[in-house]
Amino acid sequence: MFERFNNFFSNQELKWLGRFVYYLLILLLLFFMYGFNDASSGSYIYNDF
Amino acid sequence: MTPYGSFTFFFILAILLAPTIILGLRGKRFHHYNMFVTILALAIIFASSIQQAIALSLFTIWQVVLIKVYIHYRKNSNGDSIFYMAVILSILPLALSKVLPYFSTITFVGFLGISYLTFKGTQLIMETRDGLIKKDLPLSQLLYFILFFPTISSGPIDRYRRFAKDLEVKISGEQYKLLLYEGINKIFRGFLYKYIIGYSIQNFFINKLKFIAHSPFEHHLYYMYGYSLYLFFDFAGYSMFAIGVSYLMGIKSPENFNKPFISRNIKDFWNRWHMSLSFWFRDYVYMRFIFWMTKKKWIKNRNMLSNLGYILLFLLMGVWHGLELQYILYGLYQAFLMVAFNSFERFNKKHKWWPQNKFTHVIAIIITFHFICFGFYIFSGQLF
Repeated sequence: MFERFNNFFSNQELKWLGRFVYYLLILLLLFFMYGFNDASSGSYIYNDF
Repeated sequence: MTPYGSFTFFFILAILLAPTIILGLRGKRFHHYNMFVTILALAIIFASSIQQAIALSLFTIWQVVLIKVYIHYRKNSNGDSIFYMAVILSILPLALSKVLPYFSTITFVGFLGISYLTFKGTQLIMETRDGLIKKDLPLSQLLYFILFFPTISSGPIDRYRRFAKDLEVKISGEQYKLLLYEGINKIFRGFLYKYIIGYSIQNFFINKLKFIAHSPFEHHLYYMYGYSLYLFFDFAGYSMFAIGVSYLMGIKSPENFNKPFISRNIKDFWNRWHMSLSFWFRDYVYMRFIFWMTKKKWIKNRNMLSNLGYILLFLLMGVWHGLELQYILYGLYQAFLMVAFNSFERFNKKHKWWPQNKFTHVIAIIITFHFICFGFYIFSGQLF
């Protein structure tokens, strides 16, 4: 059972699909939050030091 | 232009690094091209402020001359006073940039990234003193290390010998493919941290606290947690961008964060938070202080020595952030936590008061998290 579970998650195609969905979600979120505008998330806190 | 501060910056980077990626995938050397990209990227970053560009140029000449002269000197001699002088001269521009604004209107000494460039320069002098760097460093390599643009504004602080090794390694197309995947993954995580989570915390939570909190105490409490998380996602997001772009350029810049909010004590936290800075302070302040004091035999109690080392380290770290009260207090608070934990650890070793099991591990994480958040609350300046 555990081996089958392990095999399922070490499947390369599944990993590729997971990563694709993860990147796509980030891009979609960026699009919904910022649209076609440039980012206005401000500077970085540590740039001041 | 602020590095990683806008989508335009990323578009410019994508264009500049396209040849690097093509060369890398074909297994060809690309460091000469990357040096050219570094010059272009620095020109873009500092284009909006000629004053900062001049300060950066003068600073770089200052550090390079200092390092070259000290390496030359160290080949035949090893005087203490010359070493101390070299370290002081290396730190001088940073110290001036921090102190001068409080006493005069002079602001032309500082520029974006002066702290992190100083850490690199001082590190080279210290490693030369230790005999770890013996040969003259090629000028192009030295400049590339100091001015490596992905990490210029806020680190991570790389070590020269590690950086030089990356430059010498011949990367095959297959090896570069892995670096590229890892780099892209880090850049995407940077977007998630900085542009999605960090932005949301600031805009939908911290900025709306006056509508969320029902009392001043609640406001401060929510601010403490909100700011702590915001600081992490902001800085870890930047670090992800810096490390990811470094990977695309074939340089494995060191990590800066390792899940700091699951630290089980304050010592563990400083091995997970802003790691490249805390390791720098550990190696070049704490260890040297301990070594020096042990050699002079002024303090024989090892525990007292260790505690004094922590106080010195965190006070310096606090002052490095700025001379404002909140940063000095933040440094003292961290020093106090370290000294208190040190004492607790010794007590516990003797009396076995705090057992080691899964339950106490979780409790330790929760307690540490709250102490850390209170530290960031002091750091934020909202306490006063």
